[in-house]
Amino acid sequence: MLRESIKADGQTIDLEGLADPNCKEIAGLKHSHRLIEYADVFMLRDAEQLALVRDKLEKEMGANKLVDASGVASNFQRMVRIADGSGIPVDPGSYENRVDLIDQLGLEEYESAKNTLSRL
Amino acid sequence: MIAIDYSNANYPVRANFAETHNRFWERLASPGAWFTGAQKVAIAKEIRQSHDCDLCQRRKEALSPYQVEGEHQTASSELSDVIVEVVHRIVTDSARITKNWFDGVMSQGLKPEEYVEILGTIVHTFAVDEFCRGLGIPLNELPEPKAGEPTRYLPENASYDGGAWVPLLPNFIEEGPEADIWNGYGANVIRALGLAPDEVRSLMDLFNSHYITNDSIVGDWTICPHGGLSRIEMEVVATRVSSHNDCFY
Repeated sequence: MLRESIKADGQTIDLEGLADPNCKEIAGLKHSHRLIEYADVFMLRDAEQLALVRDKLEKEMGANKLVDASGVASNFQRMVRIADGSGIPVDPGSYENRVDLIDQLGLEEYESAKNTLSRL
Repeated sequence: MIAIDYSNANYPVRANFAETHNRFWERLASPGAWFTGAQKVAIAKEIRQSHDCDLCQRRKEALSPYQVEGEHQTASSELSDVIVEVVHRIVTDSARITKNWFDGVMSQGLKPEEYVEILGTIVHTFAVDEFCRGLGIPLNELPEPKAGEPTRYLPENASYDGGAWVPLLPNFIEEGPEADIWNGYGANVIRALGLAPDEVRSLMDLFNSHYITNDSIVGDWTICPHGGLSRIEMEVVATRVSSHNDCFY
């Protein structure tokens, strides 16, 4: 999905930094800091902190965007588990097309890369 | 069955969330290809239990989950030990699943088609639960299981040619009973559930409300697919969550 983001992005917005935990906003994308904060706290599974972050996101971006953010976050909790649980390889051609990006982001250090790459 | 209804939620939840969640709840309660409705609902209960399982917690904190022995704290006695292990592991520590773990699960008597139905049941239920958690909405009451026997349906065109641990359906399916399950190209992450075609149908249905339609993945990135987040904003959340999950795929 990260690959698709960059490939299809015809604008100047660059999502590459999102694999870096220290990345707190995306240059050129208004409110990106709120979305990143929401995703980070969502993954902490701390209900009190998440309530605080929801309030900030709703006030800054609106309730509809908050609802969408929860939909997307929960969807990607699902997709990773399908990939991890089934041992699928990356799709044909996609590894070769993003070797530089994988190297730049250090994605081969992910545990799941061992499964995914061994199936190439 | 009590219908899922978000109309009184603390935020204005668009209608297609309740529609798709209700369709999945109906499917969850009904006999699948290999499991009864009661077994599938038991799997859903086990998903919720896994967050409070001491063994899962100790494994999560260990350098390797395979060094930690013990018994899972279960929600019921309705499921075999191997199914409980699959549910707890996929929910709480999927990134460190290995082929050896998968082979061990298979050696305890699970068939690939059964495993795929369990995997689908886990991930769809978990997505609905996580949506509620993300908005601070109480988890939906699980459905009452429906009577009936599993269909024992197995698609004919699945194979190991895709290189996954389980047989996959082809990328393109133009005819036959599975011709409806995705439009155009099916990526591996979708094909992964193909051995249990109804799990793919649930995947795509929920995909449409939680994210976007499969055939619009490569499209206009400036639009707001549901009137809220723009596509680029969606990808910020998607990529960050995937990064937290060490998702190489």
